[in-house]
This record gives sequence, C-alpha cells and structure tokens, in this order.
Amino acid sequence: MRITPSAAHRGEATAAQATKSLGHHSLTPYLFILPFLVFFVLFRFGPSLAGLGIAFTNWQAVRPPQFVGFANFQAMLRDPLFGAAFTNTIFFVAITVPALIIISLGLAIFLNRAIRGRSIGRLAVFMPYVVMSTVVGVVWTWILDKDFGLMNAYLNIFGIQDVPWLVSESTALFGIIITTVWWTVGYNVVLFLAGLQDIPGELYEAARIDGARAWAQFRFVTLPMLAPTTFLVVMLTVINSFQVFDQAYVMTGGGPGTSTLTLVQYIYTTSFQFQKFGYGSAIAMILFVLLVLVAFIQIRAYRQGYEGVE
Amino acid sequence: MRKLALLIVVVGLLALTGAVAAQDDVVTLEFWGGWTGPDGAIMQELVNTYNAENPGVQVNLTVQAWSPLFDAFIAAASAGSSPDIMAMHPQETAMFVNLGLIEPVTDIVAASEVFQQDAYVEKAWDLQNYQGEMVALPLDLGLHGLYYNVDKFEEAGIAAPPSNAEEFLEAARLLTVDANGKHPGDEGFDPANIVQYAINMQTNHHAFYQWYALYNQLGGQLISDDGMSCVMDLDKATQAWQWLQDLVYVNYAAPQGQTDYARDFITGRTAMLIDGPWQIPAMIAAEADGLNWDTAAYPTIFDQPAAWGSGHNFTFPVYADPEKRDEAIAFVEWLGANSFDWLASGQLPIRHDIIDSPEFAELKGRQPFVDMLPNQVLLPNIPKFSEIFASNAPTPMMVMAQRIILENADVRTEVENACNTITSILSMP
Amino acid sequence: MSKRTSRIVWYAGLVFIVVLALAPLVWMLSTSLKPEREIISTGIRWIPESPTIEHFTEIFTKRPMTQWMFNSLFTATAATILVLVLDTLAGYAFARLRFRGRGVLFIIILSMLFVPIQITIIPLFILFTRLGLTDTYWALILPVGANVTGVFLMRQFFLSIPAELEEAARVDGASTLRILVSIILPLARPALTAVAILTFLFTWNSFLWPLIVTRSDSVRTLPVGIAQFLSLRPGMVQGQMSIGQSMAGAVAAALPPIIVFIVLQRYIIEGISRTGLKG
Repeated sequence: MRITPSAAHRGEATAAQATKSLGHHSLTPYLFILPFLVFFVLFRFGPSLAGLGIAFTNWQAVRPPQFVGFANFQAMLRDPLFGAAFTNTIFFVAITVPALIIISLGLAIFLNRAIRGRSIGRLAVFMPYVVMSTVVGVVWTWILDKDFGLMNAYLNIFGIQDVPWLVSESTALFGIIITTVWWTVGYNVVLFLAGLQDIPGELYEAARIDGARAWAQFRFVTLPMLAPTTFLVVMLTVINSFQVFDQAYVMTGGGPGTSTLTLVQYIYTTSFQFQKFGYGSAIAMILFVLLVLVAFIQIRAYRQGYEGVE
Repeated sequence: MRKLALLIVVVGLLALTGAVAAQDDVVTLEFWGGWTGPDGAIMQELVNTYNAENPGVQVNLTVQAWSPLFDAFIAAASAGSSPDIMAMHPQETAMFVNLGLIEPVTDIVAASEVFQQDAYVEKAWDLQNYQGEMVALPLDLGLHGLYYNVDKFEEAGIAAPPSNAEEFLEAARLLTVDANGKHPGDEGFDPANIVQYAINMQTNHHAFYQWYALYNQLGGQLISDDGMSCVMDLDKATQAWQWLQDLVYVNYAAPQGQTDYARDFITGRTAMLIDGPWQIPAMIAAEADGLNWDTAAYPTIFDQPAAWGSGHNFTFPVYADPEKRDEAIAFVEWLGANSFDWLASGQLPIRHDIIDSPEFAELKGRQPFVDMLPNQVLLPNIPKFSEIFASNAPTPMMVMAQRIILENADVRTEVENACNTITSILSMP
Repeated sequence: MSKRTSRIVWYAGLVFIVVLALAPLVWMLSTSLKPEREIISTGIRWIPESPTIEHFTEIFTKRPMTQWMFNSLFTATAATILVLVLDTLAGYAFARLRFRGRGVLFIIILSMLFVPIQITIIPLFILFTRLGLTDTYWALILPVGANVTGVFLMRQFFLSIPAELEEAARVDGASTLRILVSIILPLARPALTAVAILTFLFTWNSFLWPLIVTRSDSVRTLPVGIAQFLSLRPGMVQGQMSIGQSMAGAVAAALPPIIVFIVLQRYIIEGISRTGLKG
C-alpha cells in the first residue's frame, strides 16, 4: 500500500490499459463502487460532514443548534485546556512516532534473519496488537501502579526508586507512551519485515564487495530501498498517534492535572461530558486540518527525497 | 387433602392464564444506573424480585459506569429517546434539568404513598429540590467517614478515634511508623522508609471532596448564590487545602501518590481510611483475613462539623414513553419501600422506618455515618456541574486537587487559578 | 565474532524481545488466577501460589459473558464479510476501472481517515434512531461497512497484480465481475486476509459506538460489557473493585482474538505485509 509516485503512475497506466478494451461509457465501474459508496456516504461521510458542520453552531444535546459562525474557534484561542491538549498531543506524537519507527525498524532488522525461531519473535511482537484498547489500558494501569505495579517492582531490583508513573504530571504521559509503543509496535514490525524481504540480496552482495560495513550497508542499501515502506509506516503512525484516545481515557482520563489530556480526548470530553457538541466539533475540525497539513508535508518531503534517490 | 389439591390446580390455572395474559401486554421498563461494583448485583437482584412479583412488568436494568452511562443518556435524548427511569446523584440533577432531559416529580410526590416527606430524613428530601421543585426521588445517601484499624489503635495506645485537629495530629504522629519504629518528630525519623502511614490521601476526585468538607468546616462558600461566579474565600480555601497537603508532605501521615486506598487500609499499610460507607462490605469481607475495624464520624478539623457526601436518586426522563410512566412510578415506589435490601450495597438508609429498625441497629459500622448525615455537604447542584467537578476530565477542581496533592504545588496559586477558571466557565453563555 | 557467538547473541536478543512483548499478557493471566488475597500481597509472583478460577466463575455466572461474546463474535464476523464484499468491489474499481471522478472520489474517501470518529457519533446515532435500528445487531454491523482502510488496502493490492492477466480474459469476452471473481480474487488471498483480520479486530475491539448504541445484554458487545467491571483507573469507582475479576475479564476479552491470531498467524502476517508493501 505504498502511495509512491511510481506506484500511482503504474496504477494509472494499468488502469488505462484495462479500460481501453472496456469502453468509456460503461456503467460497470459505478455498479462496483455503488454498494460501498452507499455505506460510506450514510455512515462515514455524511456523519463526518454533519459533525464538522456542527463546529459552527452552539448545540447542547436536545436544544436546537444555533449558528454562531466562528465563535467556537475564537473561544479555542482563550481556552487553556485546548492549549494543553494541543501541546500534549504534539508532544505525544513527537515522541511516539520516532520511538515506534526506530524500535520497529530495529526489531524488523533483528528478526529479518534466516534463522530458526524468527517466526516466534514475529508472533510475540505482533501479539499485543490484537488485544483491545480497554484491556491494554487496564492491564497497563495495573503494571504501572506506583505502589504495587510490576514495573516498579523490577525497577526496584535494579536499585531505581519507585517511579510515580500515572500519578505524576511529569511521568504520566510517558506511561501512556510506553503502553502505546508496546501495544502497536508489532504492526509496524510486520510492515518493515515485508519491506526488508523485498530488498534483493544482490544489493548487499555488491555493497559488501565494495567494502561496505554493516552501518554503510544499512545507510546506503537498507534505508533507501526501504523508503516506500518507511513512508507508509510513518504516515500511518502519525495519523494514529494524533488520534490517541482510548489508552489515555482508560488510564488517566487526562490527568494528573492536564498532563495527559489529548486533542481527541478533549473532543470527547467537551462533546459528551460537557455537552458542547459545537465546541467539540470545532476542535475536531482543527485536528482534521492539522492532519491534512501533516500528510501534505509528508507527501511533499517524500516525493523530493524519492526523486533525489532515484 | 382433596381440597388442597383442588386449590393447587385452581391457583395453577389462574397463574397460567395470568402468565398468558401477561405475555400479551407486558410493559417493558428501561432502568439505567451506574452501579458497576458489587452494588450492581444487589440492584439486579432487587429488579429480578420485582419482575417475579409483577408479571405484567419487565424491568431491564442497564448498568454502565456513570460517565459513559450519561454519554449514552445524552446521545439517546439527542435522538429523542430515553430510558424510563434514570438513576443519578442529587448534585447532577440541575445539569440534566437545564439540558431539558429530566422532568420534575412534584406531581408524582403529591400522589405517592411511599415518597412522603416525613418518612425521610430531612437532608435526603431537601437534596431532590432544584429551584423550588422536586426533580428526583431519593434512594440513599452516602458520605465520607473515618474507618480505623482497632488493633493498630490499641498498639499505639490511642483510646478513641480522633474527632478534632489536635487529636487527629497526635493520632497521625503515633500511627506513622518508619522502619526503625520511629514516629515523625522523633530523633532520626526516616521519611523515606515509612512502613505504616496513619491515613490515606486520595489522588483522585475524592481529594477535592475532602477539601470541600474542610472548606465547609470553615464556613466557606464556593459558588455565588446566583450561580454566576466563584466566590471562594481564598484564605479559607488555602487553609483547608494546606491541611491536606501537609498530611502528605509535612506530617508524613499519608503516602504520596497513593493509588489504592481500600487495599492499603485492608493490608495495614495505613491505619485509617477516609471513604464512604460503600467500603463496609469490603471491610466485612476482610475480617476473615484478620482485619479488626470500626468506623467513626469524619473528624471536625476546623470550626464546625461537615463531611462530603452524595447519594443516589431516581429521575424521570423527558423523552421516555409517557404511557409507561405509571408502571415506572410503581417500580420506583417499590424500590423505595424495599430499600432495606439495598443497604447490602453499603449505602445509607434515608427512611426513618429503616433507620429506627432493630435490623438496622445490628448492621456494623453504619451508625456513625447516619449520625453525621445532618452535616453532609454536597457539591453545588449547578447546570455546569460536569465542567467544574467532573472526575474523569481535567476540570478546575481536578487540576487543583492533583496539582496540590500530587505535585506539592503552591496552594494559594492553585486556589486562585481554579477560582478564576470556575468564574470564566460560569460566565460563558 | 564467530558465527556461533553471533548466533547465541541473537537468540539471547530474541528471548529478551519475546519476554518483553508477552510479559504484560502473562502477568494479566497470572493475576487473574490468583485469589484476591494473594494479589494484594506485595512482591512479584508469576506462578500463582494457590491458583483459582473463582474470578472466572464469578464473571461467567453473574454476568452474561457468553452472550456478550456471542454478540461480539457474530457482529464482527458479519461486519467482516460485509466489508470484504464492499471493499473488493470498490477497491477493484478504483484500481482497474476508469470512470469520471475517480481521483476526486478516492481522495475524499481517504481524507475521512483524518476525521476523528468521536464527532461522527452523534449524527450517526441520530441516523440510527430515525431508522429505528438502535439496540440491534444492524447498528453494530452496518457502520463498519464504511471502512476506508479496507478500500485503500484492496486498491493497492489490485494495483500490484499485472494487468496482462485480465487482458487475456477480457479478449476472451469475460465480464468484469467474472474477471474479478475467477482471476483476481484467487490471487488476492493475502489482501483479503489482511482486510478481514483488521476489520474483525476493529469491530471486536470497538468501544464507544457500541456503548452508545446498545442497551440490552442481548445485543451488547464484550468490550462494553466488561467495561462494567474492569477497574478503569483504580479509585475511580465507588465500592470495592476486585482486581482479580478485572483481570479475568481482560483475559476473557483478549483470549479469543489471541487464539484466532495464533491459529491463523501465517496468513495474517502474510496478508498484512503483502498488502502493505506490494505497491
């Protein structure tokens, strides 16, 4: 699923070939698309548009919504909780994305060795990903418990004093980051592994003949050849990280203080707990724009880098 | 003998026809409540009993934690539907009245033989009132009290549970013990190696519940009478918080960053526990492991007695089916009249007939809580309740509490910040 | 470094990774099998001293666990089948068929990945109320049909299949649907598996929407059901919340997908990696 220019071009080309013999006036494509489109419009696109539209209203549960223009967006500027949610989310993304990429790439390279036992490693690393978020949250709350948790019990063995984890502003977000990395790293590993297996062995042969050591091989063969995979993985990780909700909701509810309040949790809190659908939707709108922007920058950066390599 | 057999047959036939008739028009009532602990099982049993006794009615109890339950309630109402009976707490009714989600119950009360004012303790009745109208029917009350470990008190030579600041501090000193058996203030006391703490200190919403009690002991008011601004007396507010913060950081009487209060008390890590009567079933269960416990009133640290409390009540949603209203009322009346069984959940009775009954007198640990009921203080019942007091969102009260208790932040600054935030929330349209 | 030592180092690393990945799950299982008294005594004990299944009996007898599990299993399976049909058709159209508005439509569909699901909940709920479908299996299954990732994955996979295969069939006069069913689908097993497992996991694990839209135990799914007695944030709930029961609930909820995963792991991993990368 790489969104590479080459793949896109190839797609165009093959599609063009395929359609040549099909004729242009056929109804078939629409019939193929229609079933999905019905579901998409009814259950995703429609509700999303409605949800984003609510951003311009003041709507409290059963009262009829009133149009308020940009008032919700102006209110955001003065809202310290929105500020905290925004900063925390950026911080979370800034730590989680590199951590997830580096760790998963490292694990993938480690596991990408034709040796017995590799599949066990792959199985184990992916396993947490199939567990539901509420369960992950509950189990990790228990593991990170300051007084009775497994984590501190082991840290104590190594002479490290109890870390307060979820009950301190300075460590709570890291508790959630650790949980998230453990939970989702396996998915990235699987993607990276597949990417690695696609790299022709001859390239490494050639590099070795040229006298390249392990690091040079990694730098000049693995990384460039893996670029499409990396792009995909980064993209998916960024989108998911920006939308972090379940873990934080279950483990800390945004606290202590505002230290783990994230944008999506704040959307949820304002919409449901504070019954301000309009304001919640306005924040969702900001998140939407932010994500589109980040995706755009990533695609641009990737295209430039890709063309540079080619 | 033959007569008896005949009687059985007749009754059986009647029951059968009754059952058949019931199948035709069984009224189904949706009843939502947030009892996710063992109390949920008790409520379910009550509902089962009612269903068995009333073949014409089928009550469906939906249990979910309060916060998601309210999410579902609001979503349902947004789409024009509601459960027939919605349980909540007295301090939340203003919010739902204001959203237009629940109806006044004045008429129901006027016609009811169960819900009569003089059958209830004054507090329980008054709390159902919002802007001069009854908006809910009471089920129970609960409030903070003091649990104490009798054995540890004896070991430390403390005769009675502390009831004022002086006694409390002395007990706190004697009950806090480090690895060398020393107490705070002793020569060579080591705060880094405390093996037993005197008392718990909550790091969640119960922290500000305690603060609210102490602030009320000083006679403070939080929100103006018109509900438009924070009128916190900053000196009193600071004094109350300072007491709690000092318990952790100055007196070493309570552990820092505590996560499981009941467990710490049961395992003897703390000698006292501030919590509600809902812990009583757990304490009784722990007696098997040798816990020797008792309860006392929440201590009066400052000028006048006050303890944080709340309760459960029944409300009637606007978007419920009006044709089922009579059955819903009948069911709630039955629950009200049979609320003795509900006491197994640990909550406090509010009906005089139950409080004065010999059965109640036999229940362990309840009396000090009941005696304290007149001094129970509830959080202000205001439309924007959840924006200011919600426990699982970064509300000003939660932020203030956690900054002070977990981060040892400057109390005065946090109090001022919280008050400003509250005022700005209240002044928004 | 000799080949042998490097092998030993590698295996040591493997053990470390496996332990780190599985420890939390094993700890969850271990805790769920301890009596409450043993849980609250401090110290690390991986093997329960006096193992018990009391927490499991408790949650399986006092709560309709089996009903919740069936509901989850049924809705997740139905939703997966629905998604496979819809997304295969749509993915193929986006990959191979040319029609007006294809590019724009595809971008609109993808952009919905950026809209947080939380804000669609209210409009969606109002829609289902109008349809009279709240508290039914329909409400749990139908919205999954709007799965965007699935369409994207299927499209990417179809793009990777050489077009020549279809050309030949088309020359023979086969219809598009026939080509899809008899030529493309047999090749698409990895993609179908990937979409199936991701959809299944998504539906099985989803919490907020089922919470809002279900009321009765006959429809309610497992995550919503167990949320009642999972001790979310200790100290948050009034009344004693048993850690053992909480962990038993967690085990019961985690086990089915883990078993499915272990049994089908070869196909799942192959599916996810092949789909993800054969651009």
